[in-house]
Amino acid sequence: MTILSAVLLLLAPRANAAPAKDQCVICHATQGDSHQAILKSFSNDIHREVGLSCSSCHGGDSSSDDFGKAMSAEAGFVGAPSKAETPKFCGKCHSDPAAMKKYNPSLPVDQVVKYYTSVHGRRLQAGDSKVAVCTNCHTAHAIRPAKDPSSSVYSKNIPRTCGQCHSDAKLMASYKLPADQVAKYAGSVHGKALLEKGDTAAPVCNTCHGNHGAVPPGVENIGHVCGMCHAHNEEFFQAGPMAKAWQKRKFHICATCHNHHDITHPTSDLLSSGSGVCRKCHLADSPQVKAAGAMKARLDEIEGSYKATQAAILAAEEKGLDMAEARDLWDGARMSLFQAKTSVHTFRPEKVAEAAAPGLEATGKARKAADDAVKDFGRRRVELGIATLFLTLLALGLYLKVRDIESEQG
Amino acid sequence: MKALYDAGLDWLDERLQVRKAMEWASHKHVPVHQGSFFYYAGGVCLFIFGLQVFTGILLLMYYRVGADSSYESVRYISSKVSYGWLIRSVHSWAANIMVLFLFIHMFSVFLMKAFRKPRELTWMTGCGLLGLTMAFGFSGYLLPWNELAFFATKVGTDIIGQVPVVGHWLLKLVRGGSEVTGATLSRFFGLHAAILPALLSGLIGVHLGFVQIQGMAHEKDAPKTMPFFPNFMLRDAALWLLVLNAIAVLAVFFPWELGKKANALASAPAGIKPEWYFLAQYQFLKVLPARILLIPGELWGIVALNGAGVLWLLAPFWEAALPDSWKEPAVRLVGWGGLAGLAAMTLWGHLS
Repeated sequence: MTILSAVLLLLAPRANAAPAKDQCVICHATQGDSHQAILKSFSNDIHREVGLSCSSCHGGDSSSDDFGKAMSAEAGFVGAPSKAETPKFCGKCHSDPAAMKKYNPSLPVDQVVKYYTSVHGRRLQAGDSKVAVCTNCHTAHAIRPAKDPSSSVYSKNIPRTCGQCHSDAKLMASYKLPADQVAKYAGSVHGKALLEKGDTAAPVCNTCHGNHGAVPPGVENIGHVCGMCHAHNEEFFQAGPMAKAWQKRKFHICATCHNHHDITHPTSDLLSSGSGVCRKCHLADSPQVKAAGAMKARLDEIEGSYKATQAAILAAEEKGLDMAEARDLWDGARMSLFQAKTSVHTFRPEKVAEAAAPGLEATGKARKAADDAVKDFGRRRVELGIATLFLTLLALGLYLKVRDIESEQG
Repeated sequence: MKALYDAGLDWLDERLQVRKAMEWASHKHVPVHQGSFFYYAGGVCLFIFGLQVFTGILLLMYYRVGADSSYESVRYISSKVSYGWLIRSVHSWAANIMVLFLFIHMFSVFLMKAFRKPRELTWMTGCGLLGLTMAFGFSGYLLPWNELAFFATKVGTDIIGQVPVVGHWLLKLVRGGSEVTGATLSRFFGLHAAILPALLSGLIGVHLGFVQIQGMAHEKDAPKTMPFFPNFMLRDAALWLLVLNAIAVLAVFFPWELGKKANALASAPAGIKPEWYFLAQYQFLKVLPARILLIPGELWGIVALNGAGVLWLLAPFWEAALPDSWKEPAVRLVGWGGLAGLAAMTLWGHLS
């Protein structure tokens, strides 16, 4: 194990060759398991790949085999940083544009500054050592670029990384925070897209909550983060009659109806006059709930028509019939369906009906084409039956004629 | 009725000497024996060729060749033109059935040893007809300009590029450039709708002419014979009607799919394979090692396939040169072995 760790580290690929004999590696490989685990992790670390070694971060003289000399203050040895020191420890390079330009010019250099604007950073400055610092998310010695699937901050791994602390009920209780966000996220429409379907474009914790700062770039308020992707929904909402009431009551712009982490695929049931989200504030016989009912009816109509058309097209295609035109119409209706759903955020039934109208027309035409094709297929079979009868009788007639001729010929 | 028939015949006879032709036809006889059924296979090929000319001309009314119009026009034929779907499906199915009957005809002729002297040239023209029909199939397959056709043609023509020295030049000649493009499509259309029909019609004429001149093999040694006209001819016609019916059933219940339009930038669909009648050759080339004795395996394969083709074409000559006691076993071995080999490679290609 000892020799293997040292060999792994010494043989690991590096862009810039480190000193031929790294005494840090040689000595620490002979120490306990925890030292060897660090060496093993570091053999695959991005810093190692770009040519950095232990002394690049921890200081000291890696060329000296004298324990005292190599790890002396004179040699610049700083050892392992405390949690409070960690952001600045990493920031020695990551906040230095000249240093980063040398290794990775595309990487920003404001992570540490942003970190101190986040809740984690502010609490750290206030003396809370339980909050996350750089190494909690990125690891200390197994750091990989965020695009690397083995990285702790690769999109599919982020729920697990954040969950190390945020799913720890005891730890979260000390901050009076819930510890079920990751579990809720995993069951949400976003979580299923990422974790079950493998769609890495789906939002994950840091998409809404930011990477190092408190909010993502360009977002004034965390409440507006949904609008980064769902732009029209937010635009319609802000221009609609509900925005002011929301602001007055300090409601979350989206989560009030769609929840925070357990956001499910929205169906028209959200507008139901019985158990819909509108009923949280409005009475069953109020004009608002009636408007919601009208919008639900339109959405159900186009969604029902969309699904029925798909079934009709599939039924025709199973018979080998060409349904390309009907499919084009059906694809167009899909856009109309999305627009109708989005228009719900105007809270005006006529807008939803307006958005749904082209889709209903398209699905109507497509369904008719599919139904006509299936009917035509039935007609084809009848015609084939008639043709078969005719051809068979003709063939039989010819055969009988031959028999007749042959009997005459003897 | 009889008087009217005779009057009509007299009228034609005065102008076209049809009675002389009928007199000549009445002397032609077809041997009757256990394998007589196979004599109908050639006639079925001829009938399907006629059907292909008829449906092909109808398709030409709407088909517009071009990378921007071929797929669209075939889609239009399949979905908008009255009975266009039927004509297209019949054309596609009939092409496959024609190749099937050509193989039946060819192997039955081989195994009945009907290629022997003096029918060497009939055999060789028949081999030429098979080659032209397969070229028909290959060129016609691309014309709808759909995804499968595009990639099948790309793979198929790639093989031509493997030919030593002239391969690159041949590839450019066939494709009309270094890639499969609209130029290839135009070229294949010209081949499919003009050059090949002219060549095939001419060669069919020569082939049938040879059959008429030499008569049927085994006519003398068969236990009995039947007059070609009208006995065999009417039986032939009855079978043609049944084959037409079978093609119609296939066209109605399994309409020929069009799929997606060809897209040179898209990746090839998974499991892409050529038409079944090229599958054996394709599978053979596929399973060869990358290199054999430092030479690309595919090149060995091309040489072997061409060698087998030449051996097959020259069967009347090498068979005649064999000692008498070897002739029968050699024909059986090559005929049944070739058939089994083709069937096995086709099945392997289909399943893999």
